[in-house]
Amino acid sequence: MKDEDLLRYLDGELSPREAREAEAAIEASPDARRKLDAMRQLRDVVAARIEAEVADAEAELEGSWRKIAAALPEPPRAGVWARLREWFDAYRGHVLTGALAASAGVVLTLVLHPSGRMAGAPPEAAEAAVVESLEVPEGSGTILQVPSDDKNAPATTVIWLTPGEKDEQAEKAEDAPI
Amino acid sequence: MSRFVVAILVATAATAMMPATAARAQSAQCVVTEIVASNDKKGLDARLDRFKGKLSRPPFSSWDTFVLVGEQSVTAERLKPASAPLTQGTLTLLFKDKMAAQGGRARLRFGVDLDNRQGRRSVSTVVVFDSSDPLLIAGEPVRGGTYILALGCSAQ
Repeated sequence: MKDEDLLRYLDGELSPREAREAEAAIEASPDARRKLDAMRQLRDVVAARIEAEVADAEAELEGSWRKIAAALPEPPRAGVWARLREWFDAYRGHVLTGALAASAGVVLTLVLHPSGRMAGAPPEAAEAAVVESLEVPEGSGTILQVPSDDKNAPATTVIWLTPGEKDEQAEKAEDAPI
Repeated sequence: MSRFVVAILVATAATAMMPATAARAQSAQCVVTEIVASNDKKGLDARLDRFKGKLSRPPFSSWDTFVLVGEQSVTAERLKPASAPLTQGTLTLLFKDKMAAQGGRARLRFGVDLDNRQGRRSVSTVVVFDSSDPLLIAGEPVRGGTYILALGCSAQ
């Protein structure tokens, strides 16, 4: 019996009829039985060796992957800012439209009421009177500030008139009772 | 949520933060107080007690006597001159505007003209003042002392 046929019988590659014929030939030949036993042992040794090599390779590969994974930078975590940016990107049109409308409202209000105070702002301290213009045709005028007893109250504004000579003479001439 | 709704919400929020604008007052009520200061050693007229703090400080501390010689209320319609006869002449008020409310007070702009008994203009001024604090015009000599005019106004 040829060695090739023995190998094919060992690997189960013969047809059922050929396999039966091979079994009969092996049974009849002690030399063929020895060869078959040797081939089977060699096959088992090779298979075991291959399995061991594969196991070692897998372990080595796993270790390599761990090293690679450890060396890779961590992916950035999604923070508040990133989420805000995502939200803004998704609603960019809405936000811009709203901001535009609000700006228009602000401008309109400031134009219509330029001296207004922001709602919710702390109340402003009272202010002393402001003299925007002063004319004293027959004398001169001085603007004075008289402090208040209350530190939180504004100073009192006084317009102090100093009559000219002509006015004083008229006053003396009149000398009318009050 | 539609773009229109978002725009309305944002605009509404912004409007709520806008200046609390004062309603445009159509008239103001003023109290005109006439005082004569002298050194007659008679002290402060009891009716002028509310002015005690102001009249005890310079330049009024030069006098020791303050007498109330006249007091009246004047209603000034917005942008319409309102005249009031005084013991020493005539006062003409022009209520120009009520400005934004501040600290619960109103800021008022007035034109104030004061004519003496001869009909000559003593002073013409435009003043902005709080409704709670009077403006004082003083210095004109009168018989027996110095004339002081206190003007306090408020507008709703």
